[in-house]
Amino acid sequence: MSFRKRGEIVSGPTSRSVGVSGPVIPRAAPGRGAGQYVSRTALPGGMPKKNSENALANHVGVKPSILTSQPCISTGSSDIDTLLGHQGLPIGSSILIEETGTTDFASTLSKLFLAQGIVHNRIKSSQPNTHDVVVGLDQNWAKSLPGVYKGSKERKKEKVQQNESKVSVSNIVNQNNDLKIAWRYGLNQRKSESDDDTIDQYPHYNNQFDITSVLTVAPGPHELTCIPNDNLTRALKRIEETVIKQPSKIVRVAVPLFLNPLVYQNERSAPEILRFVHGLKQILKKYPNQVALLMTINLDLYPRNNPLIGYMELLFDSVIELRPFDPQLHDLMERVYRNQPAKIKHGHLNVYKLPVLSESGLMCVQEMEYSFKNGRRRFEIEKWSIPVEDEEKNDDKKLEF
Amino acid sequence: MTSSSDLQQQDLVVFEDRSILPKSDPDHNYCTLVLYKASTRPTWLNVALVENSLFGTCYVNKTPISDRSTAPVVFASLSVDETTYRKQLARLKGDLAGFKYVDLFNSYQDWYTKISLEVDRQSKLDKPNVFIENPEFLLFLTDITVDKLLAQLRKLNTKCNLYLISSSDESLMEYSDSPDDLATVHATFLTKLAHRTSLILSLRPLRTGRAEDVTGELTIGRGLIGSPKKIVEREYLYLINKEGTVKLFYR
Repeated sequence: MSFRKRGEIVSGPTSRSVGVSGPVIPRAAPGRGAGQYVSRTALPGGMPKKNSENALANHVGVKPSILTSQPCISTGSSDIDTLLGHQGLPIGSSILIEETGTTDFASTLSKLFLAQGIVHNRIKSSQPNTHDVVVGLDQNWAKSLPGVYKGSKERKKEKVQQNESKVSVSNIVNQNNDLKIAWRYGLNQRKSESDDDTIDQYPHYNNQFDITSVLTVAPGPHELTCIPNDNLTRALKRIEETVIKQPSKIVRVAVPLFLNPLVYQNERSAPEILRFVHGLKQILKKYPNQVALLMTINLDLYPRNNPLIGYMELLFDSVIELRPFDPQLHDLMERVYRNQPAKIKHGHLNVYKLPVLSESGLMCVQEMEYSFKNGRRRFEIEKWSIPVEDEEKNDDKKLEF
Repeated sequence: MTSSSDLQQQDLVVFEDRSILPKSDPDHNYCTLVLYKASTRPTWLNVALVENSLFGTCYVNKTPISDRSTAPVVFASLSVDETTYRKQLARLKGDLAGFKYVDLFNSYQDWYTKISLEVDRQSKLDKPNVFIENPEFLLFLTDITVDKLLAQLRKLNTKCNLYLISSSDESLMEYSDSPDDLATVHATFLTKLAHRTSLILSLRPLRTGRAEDVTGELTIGRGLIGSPKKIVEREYLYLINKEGTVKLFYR
């Protein structure tokens, strides 16, 4: 005898349970386990690559590119992920974020990139899966990585859960009542079904961060390695050593404020700098299933017509530029959108290269086509549209009939 | 204004006899320079040239090539690793035994010896076509000077047909007063190299900006050294889509 209500669709046994199974890859070959990526081509120097494939198996922060099916990780900003075309940064790739002016939005993106790695690493405390590397900055800087955004609903939920977890007479009585009602009307089953529908295929792929908060437990040396920049050749060696020490983890390498005199105090020759960037690319390609790189640089010190930047752009897989609005345009936006402050943007976002696509010859340059806003909860990117000033004057003419 | 959808797709033709790569000539070794801008990488063109050398075909062309000739390929890149080209070549569905990759990306110190050895090995079969991508990187990765690099490339060219793929971005082509400046070194290298080539293929984006139906322009021009075979100087518009198909149109 079945207790199933009439008209209810008979569903098969649901094996998928939240947080247990790994991500399912679209177009995965039958027989290949979820979350297991297999490189398509025979690669030279096999040993490090074979080891690094472990890093991808069942990693909650990895999903296949929608364009090429390459495994990707989130940059910490969902809008940047979308902009890159793959819904993330393909592992083994690099992104260079250039910034004009005295602002430092690029550092926020560096922090989001690293914070996302820390959050992934802490999902299962028994199985750490990600390691961060910062070049040139110390643990104090790493303490300022943003924490995960918690909306008002989530905060309320947390409070309710805390109260419910306390042992009290009313809680015990309520629990029993819930079970009775749940059994009678099949509410428990319905709830779990609706949860299954709404949960994304990759629920832990990216998080929303609150840049005004910090990670509640600051990342320690077991999660984040800080590498000094006094000697770039030595820094390269230390990065590779760190990667080798973490064979079953994704390694996110961030080089924020590259060549900024505050951080890079010793003067360096252009060939030395380019050897460093080339060396970083060598590491990325040597461990293509394990390492991803984000670098930020200020263009006021090294403008785009500087040959050093030209060479660096050749070596990076993706290049974007943040160009804050000049004061006049910013004033205009404030005037036009004084009743809609959410529409005020901070600057233009230009795209010069996109991972894999630019490499295969596609022309991906998009200048003045996007605008960005560094909000508290989100780094927003939208199509740029010129604000139009409403010139209608509020005449106090009153029509009298 | 005409868009690529109004134009008829054309075949890639470099020489007057409608060939793309010259047939093996015991008396003459060609030196070809492929120039590109950062926004129009030449990967598709390199693959087309490699395919033409290995199989005598060209995936860009609609018309089958009647007079096919093949030659082994030695490929070396200082800017990308082997995987990038292996992935692109995998779709050619042919035997890639004649394609030899020399890994200069990970170890470039003894670049000349490595390429030279591979060329000697392949020369036993036929005169190989040697592709070197971004040889200018050697100017800052190693202590080599412009003149020494050019001398070694010339020496290599005495044994094989040479295809040098190099960036010609504006930022790299501005001379300055300082002789050690990166742009001065790069521009000097390219200018001297252009004087030693018989064919120049150039890729650049549209001057008018980005377009949905055109990726860029391909220009075929003569170099400063005469070529025994007549070169068809021509400009194409080309379109690459995300699936990797390439279409050429006359400018």
